[in-house]
Amino acid sequence: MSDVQLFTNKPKFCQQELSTSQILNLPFIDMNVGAFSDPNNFGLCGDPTMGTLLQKNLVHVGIHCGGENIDLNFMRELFPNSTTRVDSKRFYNQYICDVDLNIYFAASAQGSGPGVPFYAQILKSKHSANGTLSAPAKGYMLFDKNNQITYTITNVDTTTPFAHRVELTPNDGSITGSIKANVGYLVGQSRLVGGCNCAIVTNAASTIGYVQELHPVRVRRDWRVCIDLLTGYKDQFRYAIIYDINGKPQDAWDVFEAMEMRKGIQSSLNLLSWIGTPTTNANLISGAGATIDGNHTGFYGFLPTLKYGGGNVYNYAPDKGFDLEADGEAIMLYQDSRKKSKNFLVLHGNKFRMDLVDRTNKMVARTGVGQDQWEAFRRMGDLTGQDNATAIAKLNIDSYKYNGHRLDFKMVDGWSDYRYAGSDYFNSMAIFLAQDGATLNGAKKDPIEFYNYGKGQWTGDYEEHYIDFRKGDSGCNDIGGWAAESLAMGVHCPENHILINPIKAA
Amino acid sequence: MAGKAKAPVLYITVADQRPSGFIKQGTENTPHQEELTGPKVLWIPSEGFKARMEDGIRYNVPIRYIKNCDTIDPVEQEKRGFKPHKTGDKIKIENTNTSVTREGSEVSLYDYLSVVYYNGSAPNRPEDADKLFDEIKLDVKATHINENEFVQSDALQLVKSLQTKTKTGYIYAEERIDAICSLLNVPFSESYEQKMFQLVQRAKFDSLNFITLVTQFEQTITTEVSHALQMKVVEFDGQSAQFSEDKKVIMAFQETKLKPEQKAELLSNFLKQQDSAGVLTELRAKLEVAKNKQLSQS
Repeated sequence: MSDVQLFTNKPKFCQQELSTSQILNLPFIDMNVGAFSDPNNFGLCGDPTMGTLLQKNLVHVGIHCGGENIDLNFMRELFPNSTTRVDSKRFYNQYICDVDLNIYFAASAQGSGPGVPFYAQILKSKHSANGTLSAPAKGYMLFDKNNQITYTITNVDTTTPFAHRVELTPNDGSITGSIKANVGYLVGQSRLVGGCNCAIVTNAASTIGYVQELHPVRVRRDWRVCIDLLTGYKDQFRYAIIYDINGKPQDAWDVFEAMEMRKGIQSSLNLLSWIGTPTTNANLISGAGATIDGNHTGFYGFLPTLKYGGGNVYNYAPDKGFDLEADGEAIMLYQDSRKKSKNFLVLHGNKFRMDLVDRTNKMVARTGVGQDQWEAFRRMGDLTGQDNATAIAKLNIDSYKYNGHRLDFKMVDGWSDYRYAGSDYFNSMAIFLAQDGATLNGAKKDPIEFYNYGKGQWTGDYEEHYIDFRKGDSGCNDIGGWAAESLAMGVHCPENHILINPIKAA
Repeated sequence: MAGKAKAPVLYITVADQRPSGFIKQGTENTPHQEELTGPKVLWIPSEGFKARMEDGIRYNVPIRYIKNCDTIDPVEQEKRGFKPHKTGDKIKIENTNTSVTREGSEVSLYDYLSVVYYNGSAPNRPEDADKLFDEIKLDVKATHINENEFVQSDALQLVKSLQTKTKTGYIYAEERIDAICSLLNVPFSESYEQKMFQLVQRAKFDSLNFITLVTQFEQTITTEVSHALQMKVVEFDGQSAQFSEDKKVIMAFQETKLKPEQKAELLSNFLKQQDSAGVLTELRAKLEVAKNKQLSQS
């Protein structure tokens, strides 16, 4: 490429379509850096924060020292093309998950003798319809799976909501009935009848599922600068250059404050999607000085939903690292016992990855001593068709198949970017995101869905406005602008996903 | 004959629980609303630390849970040949609560969970260790719940005393109601029915404070009126109550043939109203003067 001067004071119009990432990372010259800290400096426009930097002769290039750009938008970039338009600021998702045909009892109970009926109370959480319905019905069977004992439900007392009592009679007259708490018993949802039989209607208990109400959030940022700041340093006044798809330099017509405004909007929405929770403090919603309203109280972010909305949370000590065999097997078995997905996208921080690789490599060596050790290496090699050392090094655990489970690893740079959302905690964290399991009318549903409201031309989508204050009532020599965007988000079926949560043991 | 000792039971609940917005279908907006507040499964590491205190210094002692091994000391476990199992020793809390009985195969589990730093109630645990679960002391919790219920009942009884049911409706102790509403900054209501409704809500919401404030307020003024009558700062003259010194009328009684105690009560109720604040202040000032005079004479 020929030597192109990076900045120009002969501005040209730029009509190129830019991606979100490009917009957020436009190179810039800080128009304010030419201001002096002298309070009498006409360039300050009365705002002392604009005069804190001292910059005198700009070199004709701007050298970027910040390393990689901050990933301000990792949440929506992880789940692109998944924004659903809704026409309400308050809507609901209904979840029907984990159909469990077992019931559990609140306390242990025993019969007084062989074949004698006895009562047991159903656990509160196994009721539905405001406590008025439960799965057992008179005439149904109850199976003690572990001991292969069958009972007939000879009566159901539904007097007290959420505390239904069932009378159980052992089918085998020589058995003394016994029910334990915290053990699942299967309800056989039909009746044993004789040759001649008539109708006894027993309708199904309503589906035990969950409903989540969703509200959007709306964020806004404004900016305003005195034009004099832009005009007073003609010799230093530069427009930043960007390169279009053909490699040709174009001027970026933009003001630093406007660029920061866009970053502020996106980073806030990103953080809210990741770790935000709704605003419930009445003072912030309707008190004096409140800026939001009852419609824009927000939603639960990804991490809070997993932790508090019924996700699978596996706590581990990051100083030892996560072990796919010692730690992962138990989780996989549990998920399989509920017939959850076996395909996971493992989102993880950088430290988690390094510790996992380290532990996995050592695991292979640790499997045994001497002959056993070589046996383990050979098994790894068999999987990939390569020699063993190459197999482990090359694989680098980007993708791992373990006993029928598939794990595809994706590092989230933002979790290890301590300039922004990253921290030791997120750096050692992983989320096993189930790739299947959630369906809507048979069609696969992405685990995370973004929403935005709107009707016709009026929507909550990103909007940006430029204001020329010279034309307004104030007649100030200022330009400014503001941007706003609304967003709602739902995490579907949190119990399908697993949060590998790093904790501090001491 | 001595009864069989019951094995101790450890009731634990996930420590970090918060609303999630997931409400069990059919329970929304009912008194029995059930909202998910924690993970469906929370896994507790089977290795951790407990505290050993020596001369006031806390030492972190490693401990480990292995199923069916009755010691949680890893060194002792190695000596006996116990090895951790990758799935058998996993500890999980499902649906945010569980219980562990210290008998049989759960002896070491009970011992481990009682002292490991992940237990918010573990003795001498450091603050910066992550707390994963808390112990529930069932008896203490029940007592606390019972006490709250009783206090609320007392507060509601106090509100109930402000009205008398008759065949045709209710008679309200209007002055007392106005005084209490003004004391508690209850928003303005046009009818006494609405004021009573507001007071019932206040009594339910913060029962203990409600009783304390209202009782103190009412008793204070009653006492002051009693003192004022004793010290002849205030006197009853026929159908009115007045300051003895300057015969300034404080209030007029509408009913005739009232006993002195009844007049005192009516006067107390009158002085409790917000509009009577000035008169109350004057009474207190005159009472103070009278007391000081009495003290100097004695």
